[in-house]
Amino acid sequence: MNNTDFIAALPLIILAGTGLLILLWDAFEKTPSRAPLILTMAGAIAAAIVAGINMTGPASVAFGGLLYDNAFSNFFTIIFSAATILTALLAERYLLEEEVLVGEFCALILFAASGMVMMASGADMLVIFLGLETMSIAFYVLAGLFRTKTESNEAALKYFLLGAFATGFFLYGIALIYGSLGTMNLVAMSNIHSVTTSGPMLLLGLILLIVGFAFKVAAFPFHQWAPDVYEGAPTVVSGYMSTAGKAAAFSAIVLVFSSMPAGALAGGAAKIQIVIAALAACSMLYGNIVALSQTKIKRMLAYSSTAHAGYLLLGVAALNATGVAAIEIYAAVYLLMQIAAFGIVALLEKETGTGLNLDDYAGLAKRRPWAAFLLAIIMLSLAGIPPFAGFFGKYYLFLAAINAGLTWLAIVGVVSSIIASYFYLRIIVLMYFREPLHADDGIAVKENNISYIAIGLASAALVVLGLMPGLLTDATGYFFK
Amino acid sequence: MLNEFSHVFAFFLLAIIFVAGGIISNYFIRPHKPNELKLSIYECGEDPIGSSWLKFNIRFYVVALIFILFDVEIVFLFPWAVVYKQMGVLAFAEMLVFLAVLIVGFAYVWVKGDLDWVRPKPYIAKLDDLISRDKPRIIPRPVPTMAQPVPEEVVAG
Repeated sequence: MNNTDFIAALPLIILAGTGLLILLWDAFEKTPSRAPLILTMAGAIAAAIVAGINMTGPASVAFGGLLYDNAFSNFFTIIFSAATILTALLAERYLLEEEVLVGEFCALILFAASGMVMMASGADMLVIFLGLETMSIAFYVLAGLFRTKTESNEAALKYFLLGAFATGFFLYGIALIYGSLGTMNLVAMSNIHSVTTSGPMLLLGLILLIVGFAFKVAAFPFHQWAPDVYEGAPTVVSGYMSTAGKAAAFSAIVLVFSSMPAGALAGGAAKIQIVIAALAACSMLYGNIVALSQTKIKRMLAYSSTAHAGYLLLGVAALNATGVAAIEIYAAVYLLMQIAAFGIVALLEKETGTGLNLDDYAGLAKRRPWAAFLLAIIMLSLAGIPPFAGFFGKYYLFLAAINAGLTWLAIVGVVSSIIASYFYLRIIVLMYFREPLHADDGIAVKENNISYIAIGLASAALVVLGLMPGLLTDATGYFFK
Repeated sequence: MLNEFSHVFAFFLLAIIFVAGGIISNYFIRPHKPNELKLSIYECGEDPIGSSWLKFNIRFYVVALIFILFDVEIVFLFPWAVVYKQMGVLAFAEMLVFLAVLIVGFAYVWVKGDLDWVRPKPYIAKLDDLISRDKPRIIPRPVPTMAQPVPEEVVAG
């Protein structure tokens, strides 16, 4: 153990430490203030800066093979920090108006972020598991943050019960992989040259692992919890769970699967690839087709998040250098789009009172021109229309699939993207070309709201990254030819 | 083929046979003469008052959770104490960090009143309080149409 170990783990220590500090502050400070939110942002910014510095340094494995410190782990650390900052910005007005515990919210999102960092940099399956649990437990509590609302309690209970069950699958998977490979360390695993006990046990272990992960990312057969949880949970929390949580699970999937020894998957590799490809295809089609018929915006975003998990699984199925880089890029882009979309929902939910049905968005451009404009950018990006970052994210994923010989999967992806563009563009049509169904309820337009800054930043990033995709591809350390 | 896992499995089987064998052989050998007193619930020799399936105060669970926190702490302190002499100052510092994290949680629980039998009502920051602290500006409160009426005891601060 030496100093470099602690520098490698510094983003993790900063995030968790700030969370503890906020808990203490919340216990002793009785006057209302925004200090927890400011502290959260400061902690997340510090973690991102340290990760950015670490990213330029040499890659290493800290704590005797427990934590990776490389471009991949630090890239995801920056993503998670960005999600935390955006969520804190969006949550400011929302939490105070809904009258929930601000200190606890801030501490929990920081603990969740530290769990995600553990998942993205875990060099041992137990570290990844620890991170997964740290993140999930924080999410269970966050989903039930509206303690007096039945929907929120239902969301928390549903998420907890199903999540605990999925954790069981995940743990069994780890046990079987350990049984067949003799190690849980990813570095040691990738150095195994001859595997003697490959076969059904390893295959079963990997399948169980995929089940656990697929639940966390709400991929097709394991997605049933997502609409109810995203609808019942506080909107800012839904945005955080469906983006950062998903990105963390994908970082862990990539870590585990790219560390499998070459010999271990001989024979089994093709089967695993087919399983993941099938999950990806089903998630893309199912998520997008079911989202077509939703009348509530949060449920629509939940089903579309299942479809986006499908797009990301496409990169896992490819599992080549392009696929890994494409997952990094799309995770970052998707995070900006989805958090900003949920942020606007959180804004309008307050302003139009009920405001959660798609009908409430009719004629929004006349009443809230800025919100409508930003939401239009986000929807175009989610649909994957070229000038925005969403297009390049999808392009690299499809490219990875074609490079890996999964052309049929890329075609399914393109077809489902076309289906998806219907319900994304429908919102724009509703906002700009329809008359409002209800008369304006005369609530003050909060144009100077801090949420607009966060949503504006995310939308600006979508445009900039769409015009200059090189910024992201350089950061992933992979150059597309 | 008797590898390490087979030893565990053999142990597992033996454990099942030992327990099940005891209970089953007991069932056949023992005299079988039930009466009302024998079949009643044993409560330290007293007459049972009622069913043991009753609602507990939820505070018991909170206290139990906090107890587990410190139970786990003790479990971690034992191996630490064993290797303390070889590890030296580093071990001391690491355990201080570990204890500090636990103490933060303990302080939070204590100050928030979770160790009191009757928990004080939580204080939740309200937008009005915050705005009145800031520079004066007028923002009309939105009319809560969809929100359910909030129970009285939660609103009180």
